Amino acid sequence: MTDLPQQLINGLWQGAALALFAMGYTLVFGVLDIINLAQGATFMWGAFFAFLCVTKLNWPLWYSIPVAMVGAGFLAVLLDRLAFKPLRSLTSGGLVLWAGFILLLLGMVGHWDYSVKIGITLAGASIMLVGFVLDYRSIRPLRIREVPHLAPMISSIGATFILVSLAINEFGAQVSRFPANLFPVKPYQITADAVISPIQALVLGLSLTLMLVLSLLINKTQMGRAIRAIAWSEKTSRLLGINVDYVIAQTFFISGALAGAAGVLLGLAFNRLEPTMGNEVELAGLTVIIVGGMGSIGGAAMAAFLVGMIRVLSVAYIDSSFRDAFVFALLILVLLVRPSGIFGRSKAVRA
Amino acid sequence: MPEFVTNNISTINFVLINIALGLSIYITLATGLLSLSNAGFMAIGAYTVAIILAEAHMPFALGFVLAIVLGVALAIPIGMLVLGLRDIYLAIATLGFGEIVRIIALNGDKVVRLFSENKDITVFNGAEGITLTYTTPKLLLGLPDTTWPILIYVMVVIYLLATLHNSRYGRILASIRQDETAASTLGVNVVRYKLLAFVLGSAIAAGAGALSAPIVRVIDPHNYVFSRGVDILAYAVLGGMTHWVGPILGATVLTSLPETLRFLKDQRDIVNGLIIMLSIIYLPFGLADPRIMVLLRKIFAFQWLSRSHTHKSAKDLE
Repeated sequence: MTDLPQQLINGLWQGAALALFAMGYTLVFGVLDIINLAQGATFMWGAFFAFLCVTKLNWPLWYSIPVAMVGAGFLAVLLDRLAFKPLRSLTSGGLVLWAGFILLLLGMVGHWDYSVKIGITLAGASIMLVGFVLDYRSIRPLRIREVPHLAPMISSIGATFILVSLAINEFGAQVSRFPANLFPVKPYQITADAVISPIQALVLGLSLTLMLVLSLLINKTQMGRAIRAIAWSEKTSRLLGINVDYVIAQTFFISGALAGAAGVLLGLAFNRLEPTMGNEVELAGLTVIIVGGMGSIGGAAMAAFLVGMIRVLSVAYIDSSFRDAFVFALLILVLLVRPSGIFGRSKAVRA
Repeated sequence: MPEFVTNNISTINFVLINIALGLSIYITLATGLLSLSNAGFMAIGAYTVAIILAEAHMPFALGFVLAIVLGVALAIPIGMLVLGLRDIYLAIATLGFGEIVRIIALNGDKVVRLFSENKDITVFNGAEGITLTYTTPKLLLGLPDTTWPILIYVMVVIYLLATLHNSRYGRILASIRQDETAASTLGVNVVRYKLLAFVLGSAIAAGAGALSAPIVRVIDPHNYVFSRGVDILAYAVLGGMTHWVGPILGATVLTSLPETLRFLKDQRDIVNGLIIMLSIIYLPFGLADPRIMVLLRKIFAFQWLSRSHTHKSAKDLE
């Protein structure tokens, strides 16, 4: 057990990155009452956005991280428009958006000549843009819908599949790595037998900063007030003149940006990017938001450190292949004993 | 016709197995439960048969019976544990169960070695999985003898669910989906009927897994990951969740589509994802839309196709 301090540090920075991911997850749940299972795919795309910036555009890292966050944020907004918005209300703009999306997919994955491929992809993208604007501007939807509770979850499972296969098409199923000399590797000595590498320090520092920014954003700003109002009651917020559609888009943007940041940071720390990297963090994230209490941002942050510690300690002292089994054991235990979460306020969720 | 069958026998086998899997998730969805543990129970069935065949060298029939018994025996305690949870929570808990099954299959040997004299024993064989020896199937009345059990199994399951659909039990299950509270105020023991649906679905999935083992021949944990469970869900979502015809249509279309449209084969996941999204958004009742079923009934007087509560289900989903 001599390396316990080292393991605690590892648990700390991995927990911090997991917290970023889970806070976005729980934010969307708190506002819209839906589980966005495509959050893991957004996480993965965030990492690949930064990878593209660094390898293809040769941008420095400090510049690539915010760009990747913005990219992942817009991806999440688009995802809302494609997967969740049509379940709330159908608009003609939404139909145009979907038509453009299918054209875009055809262009991206079909076996076309290069110029035809670019043409179809661009046409799809511009139709999507038109549809997006139309959808946003539409005042009277074709139909306002009440769908079964599970519909958004199933829809987001479908979206995950599309996003992951697109990444496999673009980057291949193998592991991609950032260039080796991107970051100094000489570790800082913290105590006699515990070190932290610069990249791990960056993960910890940036995660804590973003957590602070999020909490200020939610608690102190006008936008945060609107988000909290909608989480409380969408109908009342609408009556009070809040632009609900816009605030929902903001919520998805924040959630996607956080997932993207977590993706870049974990991708950098392990230097291991692969299209399926979202799956693992997805399941860990689900555990975190349930242990933390669904919809509770502070709870999610604390639970993330707990889950991070459990994962690191079970790898260090038991067996790496049982890591996820312990996380799931915790998940099922919490679900059975206290479904409202360890840190959550008690709310009847049991039948 | 016989030539078509022998040429496409593997597709036909998989269509039949996937129909059984689609029906296994249908029975829980028809009760209003989103349970994602079917891939896990399928793994349990497949591993049981594989171990019986490859390591115990006993007949397939024994393995099949054992698989279903094991499925039921595991489904009862697990169902009792998790069925108190509501929709999303239940989905996540059952997802966790599926993952735990996979992790056990991956690492089972380490646990077995702890209790065994022989420290090199391999039962589950980790990530490589169990490989069954290939025996050329004999033709029996125009069909290979590996296809017959699957065909009979699917027929039995369909008969069972069709009978259930129009019976008192079927109506009770539908009433739980439509309004759990109302059902319980009318004296329905909600937890007991949910358990019935869960155990039935798990047993069907375990049986389908058992029958799939001789066909896939390599039983490794990778066959039963989360995406396998999503495939199964897609059958029921595309087909429709209000009538047992739905998953049959969904499984047939989704399994044979990549075979007929070859260029779709490498993009299977994208097509699957698109079908799931588009059908949940624009076709919320699936291919076996209750409104279409009612129409069919009017046109063709298909009394047996939808007798009881299909038109009510349409209202419930609206």
